[in-house]
Amino acid sequence: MNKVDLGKNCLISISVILLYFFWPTVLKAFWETFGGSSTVTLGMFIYNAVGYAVLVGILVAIYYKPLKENWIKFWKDKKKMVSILKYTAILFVGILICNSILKYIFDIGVIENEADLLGQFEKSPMWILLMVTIYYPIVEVIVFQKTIRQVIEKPWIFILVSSIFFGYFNIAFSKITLEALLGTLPYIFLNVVLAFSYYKSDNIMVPIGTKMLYNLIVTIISFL
Amino acid sequence: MNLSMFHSGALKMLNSKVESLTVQVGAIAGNANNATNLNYVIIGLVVVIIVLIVITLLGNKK
Repeated sequence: MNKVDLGKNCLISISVILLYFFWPTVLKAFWETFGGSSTVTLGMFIYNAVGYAVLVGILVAIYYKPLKENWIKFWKDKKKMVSILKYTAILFVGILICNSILKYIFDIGVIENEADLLGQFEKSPMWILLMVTIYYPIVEVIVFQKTIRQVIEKPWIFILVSSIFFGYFNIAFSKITLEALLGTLPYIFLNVVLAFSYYKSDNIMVPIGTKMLYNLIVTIISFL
Repeated sequence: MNLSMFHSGALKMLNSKVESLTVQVGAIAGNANNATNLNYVIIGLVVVIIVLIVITLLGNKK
């Protein structure tokens, strides 16, 4: 990749990252400007659903060409589909080990952000199901991997930067304590596996599919 | 630890890790939560942007 292309990719990546992080603030600002209620209503629910769908649409439009190419290649290559099962299995084993280490060695249960998440899950499980199986896999893989991959060509630097980026932003919205930092271990592991799958397959549908399947299984377990 | 305890513990731990949500729930709750924590987010974003720009300027061919 030449310097001009790299510079262009860098600008697009930075714009996508900023868009993702400030999108909830933009949605909230519009909602409040037009007199939306501060209590949770059906209107707010629909507004948020449309708002997040629009974000997905914008991200897909930005990377339309590579996403389309990857999509076509993915459905033509059965090996890539099977690899999703392999990476999902690795995620389950690895995250279980990470969580066991946190629980039994460091006595860390649920970090602050996860407590918020579980609260949301109990309130509206169907909404959460849709978000974790469709929205987050697409958006997060684009934001935390596609953007970084567009700029960093060296595979291990890409995996390292992407995973630290992802791990950090799992705790950045709550208090950053030693416990929270240790709590990022499963997330960093998760991103390492997804980023590795992306690098190996050279197809973004593999990490997206893996994340969708992993989240779906975990959510189904949560329903039981 | 017997098997059922292991399963219960394992499932509980898995339940607590519907991983992807954390970031975005953080972002959603972040609006209502506490403005002070936004500092960490902004610091993180600035660092990421600097890293990307530096890598772009230095070049990083395979």
